[in-house]
Amino acid sequence: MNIQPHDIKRLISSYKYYIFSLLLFIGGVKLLSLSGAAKIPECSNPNVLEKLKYVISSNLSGEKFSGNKVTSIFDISEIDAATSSARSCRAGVTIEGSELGNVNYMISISAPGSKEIVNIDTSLD
Amino acid sequence: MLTKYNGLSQSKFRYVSAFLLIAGPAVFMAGALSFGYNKISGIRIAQSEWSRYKKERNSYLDAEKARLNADMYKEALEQNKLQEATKYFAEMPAVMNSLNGMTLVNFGKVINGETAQYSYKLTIGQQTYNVQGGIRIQGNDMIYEDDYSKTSPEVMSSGEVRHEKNAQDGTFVLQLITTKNSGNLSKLGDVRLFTFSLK
Repeated sequence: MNIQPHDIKRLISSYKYYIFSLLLFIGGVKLLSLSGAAKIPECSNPNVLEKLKYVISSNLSGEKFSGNKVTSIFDISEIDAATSSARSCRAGVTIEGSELGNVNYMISISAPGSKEIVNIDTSLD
Repeated sequence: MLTKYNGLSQSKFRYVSAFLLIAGPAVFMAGALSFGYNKISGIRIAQSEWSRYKKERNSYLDAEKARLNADMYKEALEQNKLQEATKYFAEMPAVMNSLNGMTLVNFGKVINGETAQYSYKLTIGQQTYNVQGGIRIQGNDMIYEDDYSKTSPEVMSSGEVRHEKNAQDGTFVLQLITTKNSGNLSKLGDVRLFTFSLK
């Protein structure tokens, strides 16, 4: 039995709603699998970057909440695909006018008590 | 029988077909809602976390600033105290004679770490003894020590010095409190008062 192109066309035409439903199903499953990681803020989230500046500055000076050492953050990228607990990122950092180079950091969320806190770990370097 | 069987089969197929058509959009809707909710939740967590961190940081910096100000104020007070003390000692004459017979030399210089000299006579019973020694600052205390070669051995002692200047009546009172009695006639806790007139 020979399958002609018009046979395929007819088949698709007959089952187009089923095919569309199947595509939606696949998309839905994919979104469900990604939704866990969606809770971890993006590498380029401005609030995360602002905190990152202070975390790195504090690490450099050894003083709690020391600021203004890190003047800018650039070339932000994600290192690996995010999991439901953490997201690994990389960014370039400028410290007081001079470029430090790449800093790897991990964003995760912990919930002490009822409040969720974004943790930034720069010890990946 | 055959007709009935075909009818059941068709009905079942309808249910399966409907399920297949609904399952796709339903799962997609669930995935999209879950993804969207978590995404917004992540953004809001980052936002509230930064606010919390900023608040904690500001209150920490405020506390640090207050502590720094307190330190500066304390330092200024200490400085004033030292200036006052320096002034207080600088006003002392080089040689002072107390109303009860002590001669005190260079007491004003103890603030510079130098030793002031004193001499007086001490009468116990019918006997009069010579006492000579030095006063100096040691750490935060001012101490006196009788000179071994120049003090009668029976009354040898050393101890703490307290002093008070009364600007109103122009007197200066020096107290020698014995904390170590080397001679057999001096007693632990003996307080010898010497009043000087600065007028």
